[in-house]
Amino acid sequence: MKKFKAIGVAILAVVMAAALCACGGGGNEPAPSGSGADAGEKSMTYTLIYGNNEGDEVALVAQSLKDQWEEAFPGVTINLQPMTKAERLDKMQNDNYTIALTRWGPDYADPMTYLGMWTTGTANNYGFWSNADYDALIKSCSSGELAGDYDARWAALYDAEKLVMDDAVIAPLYTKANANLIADGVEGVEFHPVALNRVYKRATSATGTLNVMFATNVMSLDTNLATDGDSFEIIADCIDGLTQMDADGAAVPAIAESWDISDDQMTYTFHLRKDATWNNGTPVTANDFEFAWKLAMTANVEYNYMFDSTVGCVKNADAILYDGGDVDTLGVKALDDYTLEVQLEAPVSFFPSLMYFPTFYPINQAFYESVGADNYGTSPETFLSNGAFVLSEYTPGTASPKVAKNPAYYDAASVQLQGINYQVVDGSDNALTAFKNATLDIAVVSGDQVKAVNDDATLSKNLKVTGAGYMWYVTFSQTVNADSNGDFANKNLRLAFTNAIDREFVVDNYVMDGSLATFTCVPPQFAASATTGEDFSADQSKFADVCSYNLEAAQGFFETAASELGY
Amino acid sequence: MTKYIIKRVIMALITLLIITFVLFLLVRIMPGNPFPSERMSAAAIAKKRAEMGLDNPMMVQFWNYIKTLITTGSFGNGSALYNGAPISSVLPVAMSNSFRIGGIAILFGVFVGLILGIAAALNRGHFWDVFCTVLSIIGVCVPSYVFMIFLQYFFAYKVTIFPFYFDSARFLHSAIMPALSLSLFSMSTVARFTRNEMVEVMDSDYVLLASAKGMYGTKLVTKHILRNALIPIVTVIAPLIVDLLTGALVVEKIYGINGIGKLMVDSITGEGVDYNYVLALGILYSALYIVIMLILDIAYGLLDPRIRVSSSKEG
Repeated sequence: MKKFKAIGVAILAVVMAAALCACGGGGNEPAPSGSGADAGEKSMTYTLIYGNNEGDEVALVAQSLKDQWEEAFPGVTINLQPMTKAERLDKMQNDNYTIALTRWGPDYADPMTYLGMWTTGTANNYGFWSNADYDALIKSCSSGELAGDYDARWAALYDAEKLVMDDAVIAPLYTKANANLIADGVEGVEFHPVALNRVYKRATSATGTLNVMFATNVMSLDTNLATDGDSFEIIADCIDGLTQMDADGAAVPAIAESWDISDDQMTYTFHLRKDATWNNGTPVTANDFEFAWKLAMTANVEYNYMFDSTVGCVKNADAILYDGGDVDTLGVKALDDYTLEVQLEAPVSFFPSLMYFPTFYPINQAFYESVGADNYGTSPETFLSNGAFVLSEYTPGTASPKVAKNPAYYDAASVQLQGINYQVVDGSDNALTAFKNATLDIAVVSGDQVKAVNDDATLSKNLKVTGAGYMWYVTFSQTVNADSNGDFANKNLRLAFTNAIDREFVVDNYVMDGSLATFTCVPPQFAASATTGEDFSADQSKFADVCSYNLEAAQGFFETAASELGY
Repeated sequence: MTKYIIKRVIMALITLLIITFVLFLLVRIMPGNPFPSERMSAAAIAKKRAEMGLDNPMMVQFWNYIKTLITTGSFGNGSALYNGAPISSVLPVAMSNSFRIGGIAILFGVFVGLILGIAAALNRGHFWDVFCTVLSIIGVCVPSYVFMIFLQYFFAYKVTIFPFYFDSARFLHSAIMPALSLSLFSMSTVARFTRNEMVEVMDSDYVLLASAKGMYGTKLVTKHILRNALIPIVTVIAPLIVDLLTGALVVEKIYGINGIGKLMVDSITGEGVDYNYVLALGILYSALYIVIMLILDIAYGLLDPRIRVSSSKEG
């Protein structure tokens, strides 16, 4: 009995200690820079936060930024603070940081997926920058008068981007690439920087199957709940939307054979093919889309914002999502089994390409209701496929999900692969060995392995660098908060920091996987004009006066900032 | 004895309750968001928090949690991990993988460890003793992940006897390498302890007496030496078992095993902090430890009647 009392006391002691440590954690963090009462002795000390579980190169990039800034600006000290991505996001969203290294990947093929982030009050506007002209421009381009004039809209988006760059709201760093190893005999895998990163419908391999590496676990196969690229990949293997991506990323007919667009570009009538079926034999109908879209409206999920007036502009989506409107008023209607009418609140130039994003995929109502929301998509038995592949092996958390060819697919004749075996590889440490061993046919290797691959005459032929879409950038908090003294509200200080970064050096020496140094707040490669097909950010020198590697200019900005801030 | 066991069980339950409470508090002051999202509005996230009851006072939340746990046996749904899927759809598979691989590792580690230890003790100063000592030192010093990478390199890459990654469809075949890597440390620890304990017992007077009476061979070893040497060994084995069942994190990562070690790390270091997963796994770990310790106490009694008598008097 005494022994238990002792154990009890010990446990309580540990608890108290742990609780104290956790609560006192704030006290150990660096004090807000320069906030001391000892004015005149102010030092320019700032903290840079970054994730320690977001890729091998991130810590190196953070260290390099620190070195470059401290070298460029005498008197500036940068403290590095690594933390989990969860903690980093938490700090950024609650405005408890000074400088953060963060990233954003495009959700859809339009510059708005980036530009929408810096409007006043948007959750991703981590710097709390606010500019009325910018807000007006963005509103006009997404759902206002410019929405219908695609060329004018495109030009206005440039103007909006210029406002962000001129004010150095963020410092773009690099657009991430994936260094893929692809086995001999594997052809036709399509890589995209946006929405669906790898598409296998037209792929072939010598063995008839593919062994593909995943970097993370599949989080969900429910099209409404999934948020990560790996989940989207399996979902898109198995489910066709109204449209699908072709090799160049353009929207091509899938379940929708064709579509009519009204003269005001605000009503889309999709004509569905009649030979598409779910793998339980039921036909794919317009109601499957109407049901899925309305479900997304009510389910409080990550991607339902793609229906609202910042992106898809589906009629009444804003009212339903943000003002408690009736979900039945959503502008989607199954006119008959094979005709789906979608009404928009404003013209959306990229609307057909939104349709290949999983949030817009169909869900069969009867099946969904028979398995129940909690179980839907948690096993091959509780998941329905209408696409090129069916789910053959899956449990939540599995490291080796598998899909097999769907013989009932309407386009089964053109699908060559018999199946795809995925394997979650935690870190790319042993991916290279597994690739050499032929355990993996498609693997992604890290930057430091790319050199080894390039030095190897046979392996280097298997290397294919593709755009991963997302951009790493630095964001500065422009407010006074628990961590920051608000120095970065000074535009010249932000400009100084932006222009002191040698991005090519960072990419060549630390990232090393073919990532592109980036000087625009909308990265290149993913957004092409609806009328001309031109890449929005092909010209990386357009903001050279405010964003380039220019130490002289940086130091000029810095001196102005230092005198304005009273250092 | 029965009274003693009942008391132990009640104490175990109380300990588990205290641990749950502590975990419950700690997980809520951890940095990170249970609903990680870079896209949802603050209002949408607030709604999710409310749905999960995170707006209630801490004690109300704890009471509701315990109530649900006891009445329905449910750990609830996740929030950050697997997009809110019920924990009951994820945990059993992970437990099954971890426990089966851990089980093989235990069997292997304890059996081979005991055999090596006994062989070493009986051949004190000779080849087997040196062999066993060297092996134990290597086993204790080399971290399991080094051994694991070594195994993977030789038996899956150089000679392709075993598959590179774990595959639940070919369980035994693909579980051998991870189980071997896991068992190395426990095998060495058991071997070292067995040897030392046996040598000590072999030098004692009653063994000398037994052999003087003419007892020898297997009977002497099992009845007099091993039985007395086992008590400290069991003490070492018990926590090793829990470690093997739960602590296979790095092994699970490298071999791509969907197990509870990996689940624990994912639930903390993923996009967000999943309160319910951390709690469920924390409770699972604690329960395992408590149960194993309970069994250990009872096993002591069976191995050595003196402990049983003194304990029941004390209790």
